[in-house]
Amino acid sequence: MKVIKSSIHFVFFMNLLILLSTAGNLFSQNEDIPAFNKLRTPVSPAFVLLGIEPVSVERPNSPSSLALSVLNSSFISLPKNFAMEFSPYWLIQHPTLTWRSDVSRNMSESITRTTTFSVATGELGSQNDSVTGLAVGLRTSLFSGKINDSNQIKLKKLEDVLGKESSIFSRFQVRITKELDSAYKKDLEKAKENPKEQERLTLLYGINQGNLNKDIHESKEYQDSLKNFQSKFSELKNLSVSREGFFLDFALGGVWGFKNAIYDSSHFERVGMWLTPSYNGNNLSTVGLARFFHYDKKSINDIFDAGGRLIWADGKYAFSGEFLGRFYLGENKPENQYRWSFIFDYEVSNGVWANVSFGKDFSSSSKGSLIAIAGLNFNFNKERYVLK
Amino acid sequence: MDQLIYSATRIYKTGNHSPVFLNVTVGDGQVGGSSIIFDDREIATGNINNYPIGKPGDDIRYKILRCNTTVKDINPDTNKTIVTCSFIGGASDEDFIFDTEVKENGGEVLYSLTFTFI
Repeated sequence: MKVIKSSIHFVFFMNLLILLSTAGNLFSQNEDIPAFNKLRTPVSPAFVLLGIEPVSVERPNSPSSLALSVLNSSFISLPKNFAMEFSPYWLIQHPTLTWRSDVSRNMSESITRTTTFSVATGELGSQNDSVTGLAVGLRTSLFSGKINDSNQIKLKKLEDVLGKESSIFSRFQVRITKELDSAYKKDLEKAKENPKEQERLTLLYGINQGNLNKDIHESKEYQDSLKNFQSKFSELKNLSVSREGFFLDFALGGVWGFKNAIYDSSHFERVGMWLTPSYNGNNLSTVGLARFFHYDKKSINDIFDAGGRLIWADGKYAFSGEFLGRFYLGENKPENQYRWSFIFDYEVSNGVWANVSFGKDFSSSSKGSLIAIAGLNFNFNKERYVLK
Repeated sequence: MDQLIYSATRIYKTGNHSPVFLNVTVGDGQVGGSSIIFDDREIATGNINNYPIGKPGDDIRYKILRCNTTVKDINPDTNKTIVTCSFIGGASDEDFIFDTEVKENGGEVLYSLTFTFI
């Protein structure tokens, strides 16, 4: 899901610099506190809660394929390595949902169109003490922005281009199907008192028409004309339609453990909740995050993470500030931790950027907790400050 | 990126009325553009909305209308595509729905739809 377009390179490079500058200390001190983006609302909360990155994920896209995915997973017993995610809304087709009607969404439309469910299983225990974990998660966007005016204009142009592209096929078709059409129309008129015969003739005509269409479509002459036309509009045809504006992503999930895969031995393990508001404007982009983890084991403290990032970018300059706090809840809790940093970027020449970063890492008393870096990086991507 | 082709043929009963009006709707949040051929002549391209087929008083029976619509997948949530051709003003209003799926994100499919008026 494209929540906000992101300055991938900017953020990535910023994080990389911070990490490199404090490597050695940082990894050992805070290895359990992931980077800002990893705390944001995940696409598949079930996978995150279970702590897995499945190699293969079932993604059914119709009710029948959903049923098949479930049946194939042999649910007579709990499968050990199963991962599935699906969106109920997109399991079925929506003939009246044009791109124009999806430019903006009210809250209920946003929820129905963006809700996904994820389910996963994985081993939580050890070889001698097997515990199969089952995680179930839900993710949705309460608000999901809109298609901006510039992209709407491009989509209208794309409709015209696709219409002209269809014309290329029409020209070949008219030339080649004249004889077939003429014979069919004569036969049809002769059979005007016999609707069944008309249907039979039309069925036959449809088969011949389909074969001719296939021949035209596969012909070198048509393919050359098509490619020649498409090459003139490659930028428009590669248009990536992203949404902009205000987003509010929410996710919730839980994990249950089954000792030796026995149903009666099931117990609740943990629950997670995420909330990520964000806004992407022309120059100013901002994203907040809140994440809560509750563990059933009393020996593990509940965790609440909260933070925000603000990015202002204008041509050759960019300024970014980030704050992240981790708050432990419950008895015998460790000390809360904070991290903040500011980064200033300036394009000294085309694609070459100078960066200055300053801030404080999570553990303020440890060596390497001060972030102070100056450097150069090379980035020739024109969309440097487009946030993802 | 390879383009797929989907062909179909249907009958529409005009009830000897003319004109009939055509709407082409590209659903599933995708984008598409059409070329409309009537009686071997291209009469419209692009987004087709309430387009008249035939003139008042014309006999459009036993004539063929072709709707070639290219649909491009722009929806990150699905690779499904669906096209509805709606005819208004004939013996009765009728929707003809066609659907198929592109193989990859950003894929394209050409719907070549033929309608015979009787």
